[in-house]
Amino acid sequence: MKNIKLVIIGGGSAGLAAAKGAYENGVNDILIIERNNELGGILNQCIHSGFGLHKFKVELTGPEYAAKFIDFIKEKKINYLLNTQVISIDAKNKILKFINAQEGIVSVNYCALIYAAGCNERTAGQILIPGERPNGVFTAGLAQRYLNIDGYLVGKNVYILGSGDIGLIMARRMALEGANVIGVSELMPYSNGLNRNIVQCLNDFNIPLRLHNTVVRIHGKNQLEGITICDVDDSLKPIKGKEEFISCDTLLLSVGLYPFNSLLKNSGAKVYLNTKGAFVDQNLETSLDSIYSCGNVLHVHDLVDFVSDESEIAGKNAANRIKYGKKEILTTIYTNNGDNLSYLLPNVIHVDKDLDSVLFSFRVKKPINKGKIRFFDQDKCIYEIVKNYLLPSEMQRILLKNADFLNLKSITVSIEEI
Amino acid sequence: MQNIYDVLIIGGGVIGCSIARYLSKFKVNGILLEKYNDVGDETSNANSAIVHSGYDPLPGSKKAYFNVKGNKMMKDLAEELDVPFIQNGSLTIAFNDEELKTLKSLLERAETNGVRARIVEFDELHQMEPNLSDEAKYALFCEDSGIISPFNLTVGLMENAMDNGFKLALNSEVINIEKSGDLYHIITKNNKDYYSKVLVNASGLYSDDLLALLEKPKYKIIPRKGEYIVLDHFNNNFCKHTLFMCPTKVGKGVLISPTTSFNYIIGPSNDLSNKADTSTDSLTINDLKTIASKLIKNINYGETIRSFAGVRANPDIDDFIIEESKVNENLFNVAGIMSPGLASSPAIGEYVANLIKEKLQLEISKNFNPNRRKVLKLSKLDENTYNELIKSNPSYGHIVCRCEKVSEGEIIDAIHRNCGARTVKGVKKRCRPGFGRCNGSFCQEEVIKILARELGCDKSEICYSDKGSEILKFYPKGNK
Amino acid sequence: MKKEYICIICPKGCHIFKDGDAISGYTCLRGLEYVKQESIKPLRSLTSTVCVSNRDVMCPVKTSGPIPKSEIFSVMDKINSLKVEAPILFNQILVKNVNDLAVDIISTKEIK
Repeated sequence: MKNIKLVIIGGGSAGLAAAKGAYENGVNDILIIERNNELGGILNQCIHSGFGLHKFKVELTGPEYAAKFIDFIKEKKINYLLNTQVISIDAKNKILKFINAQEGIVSVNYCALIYAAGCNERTAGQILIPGERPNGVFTAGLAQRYLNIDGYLVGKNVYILGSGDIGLIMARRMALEGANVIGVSELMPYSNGLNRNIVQCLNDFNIPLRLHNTVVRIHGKNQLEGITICDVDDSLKPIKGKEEFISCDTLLLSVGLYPFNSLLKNSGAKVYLNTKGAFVDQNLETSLDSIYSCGNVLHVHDLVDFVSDESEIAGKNAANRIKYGKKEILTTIYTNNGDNLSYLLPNVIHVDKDLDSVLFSFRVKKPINKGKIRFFDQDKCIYEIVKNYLLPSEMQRILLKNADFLNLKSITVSIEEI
Repeated sequence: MQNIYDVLIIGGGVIGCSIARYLSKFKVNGILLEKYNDVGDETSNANSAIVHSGYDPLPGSKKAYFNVKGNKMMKDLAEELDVPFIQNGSLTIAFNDEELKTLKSLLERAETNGVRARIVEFDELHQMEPNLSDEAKYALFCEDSGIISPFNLTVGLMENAMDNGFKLALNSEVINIEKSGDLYHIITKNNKDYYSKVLVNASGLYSDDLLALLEKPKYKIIPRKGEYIVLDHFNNNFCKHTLFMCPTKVGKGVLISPTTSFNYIIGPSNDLSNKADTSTDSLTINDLKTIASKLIKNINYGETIRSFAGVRANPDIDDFIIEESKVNENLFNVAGIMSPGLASSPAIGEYVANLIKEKLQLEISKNFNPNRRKVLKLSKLDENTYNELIKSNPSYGHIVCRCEKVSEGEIIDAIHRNCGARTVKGVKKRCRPGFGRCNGSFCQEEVIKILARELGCDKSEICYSDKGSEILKFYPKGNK
Repeated sequence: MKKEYICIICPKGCHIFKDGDAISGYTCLRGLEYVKQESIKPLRSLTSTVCVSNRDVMCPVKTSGPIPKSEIFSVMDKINSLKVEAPILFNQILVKNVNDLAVDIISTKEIK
C-alpha cells in the first residue's frame, strides 16, 4: 500500500491543471495517473490552433497548450505514471487500485482524489444509425488520432455527421491531407460548432453544411460503400421522399461527447443526469468525501482554457481540504436549471463561513440572440444579467458574488429571451 | 494427389466447429473450410446467445432431442473450453390467465422433453426479478437455461479441434464440388483443391445452395433476420434471468437477457430477409424497445451501446436436418440449424462425429485433450495470482481496453492461439476490446498496432474484418 | 454593397459588416483588423504534420504566421514532401521562409 496525499486520475488538460492548482496551493505529494503513453491527453491530437486565447492571451496549438502544463509538471517534479489504468476506487476507505506493467496491481491510500478522466465521443452504436456495420464509420476523434499522430487517412471520400467542433476541424484536416470531403449533415437547424470553425473549416474548403439533415442508413457489409442522408422535420424525424444516396468510404461522427464517468459512478458517486458527470458542490467535490471532479468528465466544455481554469480550482480546493480538513457546513442550498438551460453546475452549495462567491457553469438549450439570465431564490430574483448570442455549443460561466448565501433556500437559473 | 482428407467440413459456424471438435477425439485427417477470414462470422456471430433449456421444441423432434442433450453437455464443455457460460435460468412471462394456459401446456411439453420447469406465481416471480413489469403475473421458470458467449464457444471449439490435429482453412469459399471416384473433389474460390472421403455440409445459410452443387436439395433455407440492441453493463442486477415473452403474445419472441459480459441484450425481431442482409432499421428497433418495456420496468435506453442483426438459417421444414444424403454416400447434411441451434451445437457435433466415426471406422485418439488452454484475465483471477502473472509477463499489466478492462497480454494470447485472431473484429470477438461503450474509439489504434507487431506485417494491412476493410488506408506523407 | 463576415480571431465568432469603408459589428480591434484584411487578402494559419523517419509518430507543425489563403495547398505540398529526423525540439524551425512567404514551418511538439 502506497500513501499519497493527492491522486489525480487523468493526465490530460484537466488533470495537469488540477495538479498545477494543487501544487501552487501547497500540496506537492501528488500522483497523476495517465492511461496513455504520454501526458497531454486529447490535446496531443488536436494539432490545430485556437487554444489558449483566454488563459495565455496567445493562440496555441493543442500540443503547445499541453506543453505549458507538462513543462510545469516536469519542472516541479510532480510524479506521474503513464500506461497506467485505475481499476477501482474504494471511496469509503480512500483506497484506489491501479494497474500497469511495471508494478502490477497497486493499492494507494489517498487523502484527496481528483477525477479528471475526460470524455468519450458518442458512437454509431449509441445513436443507432440504421443499416450495416462496416469498417469506415469512425468517431471524428479516432480519425483525428489516426491522421495527426499515426499519419494515416482512413479514407478518401468522406462524409461527416454532426457539426460539432471536432467534426468541423476534421473536415478541414482531411481536406488538407488530400481527401474529398463531400459534406456535413447536422440534425439540428443550427450548427453545434463555433462560428469561426464553420468559416475556416467548411467555407474555406467549399464543404457544404446541410442543416436539419441526418444519416438514415449505412451501406456496405465489410467496407462502407455509401450512406443515405435525409432531411428531417421539426420533430427531427426523417421526411419520406427526401432521401439522398451518397457514395463514400468514410463516415465521421461528431455527434456529441459524454463524460467517461463509469469508474466514479461504480464507486458510488451520485450522477447528475443532465451532464452524465458527477453531482458536485461549489468546490467541485462529488457526493463522495474528498473526491473532486473537473474538466470534461464533469461536464463537456467548449474551450480547453475553461477546463484548465476549472481544474486549477479543483486542485486548489483539494489542496485546501488536505491542509485544513473539512469545513463546517452551515447550510446546504440545492440548485435547479430553469427555463432554457440544459444543465447547471454546481448542483449543490455547501455554505461555510468563508463562502463569498460561487462560479456557475451552464449551457443554453437552444440559440438565444439576446437573453436575460436570472438567478432566483424561490420567487425572488437575486441577480440578473443580459447576454447576447447565447449558443448551445458554448458554455456560459457566471460568478455570483455578494449573495446572502446563508439565507438562501435554493437557486434556480432561468433565461428569458428578449 | 495432395490435400486428401478423411473428412472435410464446409462451414466454420458453431455447428461446423463443434463437429470438428468432436471428430478430433478420433484419429482422423480432417479439415474445415471457412469462406470468411474468421470462424463464426455469420449466424454464430449475431444471435441471442441463449442456451435454451429445451421446454419449447415439439416432443420427438430433432430440435427437442439435441437441445435438451446440448443443454446438459454445455456446462462441462464450457469448462473444458474455458468459455464464459452462466446458467441464469429463464422466465417465460404470462400477463393474463389466457397466457397462463399457454405456460401450462409448455410445462407439459417441458416434462415430456425431460426439462426441469415449474410455474412461479406473482410474489415469487417479482422477488426473483424486482424490475419486472407489474403486469407480469406468472412465469414458467426453467433453471437449466443459460447464457454463453457464442463467439468464444465457436472459436473455442475450433481451437480445441486444432489443438487435437484438425485443420482450418480460412478465406476458402467453396465454389464447386465434384465426385472423383470414392472422393469428393472440392474447389475453392482461391483456386485450391481438396479431396475428401467424407464431406460435411455445415454451411448454414448457404447449405441449400452448396448442396445444389451435388444434388437437388430436399429443403430450402428461408433466411429470417433478427435485430437486437445491446445495453452497457450499467447494473449487474437489473435483470438476472432470461425473460421471454409468452409465445402467443404479439411479442414475436422478444427476450431481454443479461449476457456473459453483464451487458443486456434485447431482441430479436423476426422478419423474412435475404441471406446477406444484416442491416438494422429504426422501426424494428423501436418495436423491440416497446416490447421490452412491457417485460421490464425503467429500461434506460440511454445505456444503449449498439444494435446489430443476424440472419438465421431457418429451413422450410420445421426441424433440423441432420442426416447422410440418400443420393451421395458419405455426404452429411447438417442444415437448417435454427434456434435452438446454439444450445444444440455440442450434441449435434458429437452425434455427427459419431456417425462419421462409424462410417470410417475411426479409432479413438489417445492423445485427445479436451481442455483448451485457460484464458488469463483480470476479472477471473485474484489479485495475487494476477500480480504473479504480470511479473512473469508484464503485458498483462498493460490495459488496452478501458471499457472492458482487456490487457495487452490477453490480446497477444488471442492472436497466437490456434484459430487465432487476425483482424480487429477477431480480437474483439475473442477478448472484447471494442465491445464496450466507446465501440473501440480509444483502443482500436492500439489493437491494430499489436496485431501488426504480432503478425509481423504493416499496420496498413490490418483489416477490420474481411479483406478490403483495411482501416489505415492511406499514408499521405513522406512515402513511408 | 454590405457584406457580412464572421470573425475567426477568437471563439466568439462576431458577425461583422462591411459596407464600403464602413465596418460595424466588431467588438474588439482585432475583429476590425480581421475584416479589413479579409476583404483584401484573406490570411490563414496552417497546421499539419510532418513525417518523422525514425519514429512511429508524426511531428505536428504550424506556420509561424498566417499565410495567404490561396497558398494553403502549395504549402501543404511542401509539408507533405518533408521528412525529418527525431529528436525534434519544441518550436524548432523545420523549413525557413517556406515558398518565399516570409513564414517558417515550425514544430509544435517536442519529439524525443
